[in-house]
Amino acid sequence: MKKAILVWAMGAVVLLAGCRKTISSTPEATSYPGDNYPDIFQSFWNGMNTNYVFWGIDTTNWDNMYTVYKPKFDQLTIFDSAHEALAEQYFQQMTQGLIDSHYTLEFMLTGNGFSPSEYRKLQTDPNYFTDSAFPAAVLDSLIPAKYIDRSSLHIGTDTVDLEGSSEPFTAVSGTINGNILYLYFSAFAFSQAGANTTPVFDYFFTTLRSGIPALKGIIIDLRGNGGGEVSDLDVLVGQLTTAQYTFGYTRYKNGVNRLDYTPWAPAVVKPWVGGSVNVTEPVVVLADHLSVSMSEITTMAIKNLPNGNGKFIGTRTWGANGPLASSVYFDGGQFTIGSAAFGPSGYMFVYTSSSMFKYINGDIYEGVGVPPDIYARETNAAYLAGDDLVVDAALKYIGQ
Amino acid sequence: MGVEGGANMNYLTTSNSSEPFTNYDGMKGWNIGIPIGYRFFDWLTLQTAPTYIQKNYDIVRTGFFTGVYQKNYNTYLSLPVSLRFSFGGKELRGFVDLGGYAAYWASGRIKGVEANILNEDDTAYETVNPTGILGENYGYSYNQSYTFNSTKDNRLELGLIGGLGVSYEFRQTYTFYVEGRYFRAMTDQEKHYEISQAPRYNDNFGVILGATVEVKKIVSTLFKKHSRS
Repeated sequence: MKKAILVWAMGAVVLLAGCRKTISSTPEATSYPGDNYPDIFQSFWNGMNTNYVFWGIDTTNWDNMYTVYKPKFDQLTIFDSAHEALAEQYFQQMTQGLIDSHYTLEFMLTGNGFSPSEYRKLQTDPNYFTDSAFPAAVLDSLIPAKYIDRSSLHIGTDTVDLEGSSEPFTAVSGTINGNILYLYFSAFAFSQAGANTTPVFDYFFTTLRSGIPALKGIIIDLRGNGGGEVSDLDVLVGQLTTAQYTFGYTRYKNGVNRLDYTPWAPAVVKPWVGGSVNVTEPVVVLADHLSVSMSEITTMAIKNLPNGNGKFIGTRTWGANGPLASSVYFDGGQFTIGSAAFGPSGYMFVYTSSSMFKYINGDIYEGVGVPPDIYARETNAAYLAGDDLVVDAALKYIGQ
Repeated sequence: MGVEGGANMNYLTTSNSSEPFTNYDGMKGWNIGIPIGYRFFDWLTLQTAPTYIQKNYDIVRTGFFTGVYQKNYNTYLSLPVSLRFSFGGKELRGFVDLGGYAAYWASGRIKGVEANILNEDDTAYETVNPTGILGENYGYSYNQSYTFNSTKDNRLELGLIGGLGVSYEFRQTYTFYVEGRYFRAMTDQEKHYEISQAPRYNDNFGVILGATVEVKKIVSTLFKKHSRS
């Protein structure tokens, strides 16, 4: 009896001890050799599985992508142009539904790229990028010539480095009708402002602090602004308030499985350390379908100014709201695959957000864009007639 | 039956090799239970002990990311069933416990600090080389209830128990014991919701002090006294 019970007990222990799943060590996406297509597929799939921050809300069936595309990549036996074309096609098909609107695949062997959000926008509207006269034409001629008071006009262009590429950085500031302060800039790169754009920002902020007699409002024009440095949030919006406030939340990955997230952390605007003003007059932010990333975050921050004086006029924005950083910072986001076989740039660079952004009202606008409070859109016809319908809408709102 | 309680050290066994500068460390917790047993023989007792037990662990980032962490406090209501094999003398005896348990993950609390990407340290503008991530982004400190996700969280845990201890029996009625006990979860803390999922298992090592009374003896003693009166 005694022996039987002991044998039974020991047997049960041994049996159950074998029931745990094997804890295999899934390497970082960057650690795979990447010297063949099946390996590249595996590293990409795992990298996305671990680093993509939107799995909690994205409806893409990533497991299904594994089932469907693994056999296809297994068929790609050698690196040549025909196989590479197929591989790029497969990667595009796998990712075309992802909601992350920063998301871009950069294929280093061919120099090709793929943006799912751009792909979807063009599928919906082939003229998405071409039927707007903004920003270049409006800014080059219309706004400086028609709207800005000639004596106050400040305009300049420098060259800045935005994520490794040199871009023109244009800024315009001045007053409209002597009592509305206006600022436009093409990217968030204040820290890189050079000899030509620094006076533009200096004029805006100096005038803001010194005060305009009978100031009626402020217009911040973010149309066509592709985003940039997060630190500019406090530099700009932090000068319009003397009180810290929350306008949304961000969360990050904190585990390797898809739904492992940190809690939501408040997204805040702090009064700028260099000084700020408690603006009580209307602050109108202009943004449009080409306003991306930091320009969308700034739009939402201005909408929530503590005095309730922020208003967004324009069209629904691009829909890329999740801030980015190196993947090591937040255990998620962008990664490179195939570095071991193809050098530091690798076979492919996957550009994706490090964090998910939720607006203060609980809505997540990733992939859909921030809706305007007041709809207004510039048209070619209006431009040719000498009108900026969006600035006109802002002036009407402010009460000119 | 009786009462037992003690302290434990819990570890979450998982794979995090794709998370650089990140460790999963063990954390202390405590447990309290009500042991109930039936002694078949001197050497064999079948026992259970409805138990409130904490199974905590800590996610800690290191190096440049030092200061970022999340302490996970998880409470389970556990129902172990085990066999106690005793050996030794009349009063001082050694024993081995072997069995299994089912536990319900009743609640969780998370406490930590995360770097907040939309709350930058504005003075970092002028800082050439911040010494840590919290010098670039202010940390967000939180201490809140854990919100369960029905897609992800597996709230039923099944596992094995192994224990080794010594007991002292007083007047063949009262037993005091100290035991080292290991709870080995055999089920994943997360449901299986994706291919290539990293499993997460609790491994809990505890030291338990307990006292039991042999109800049968107490009842029979009382019954005898009652009969005499």
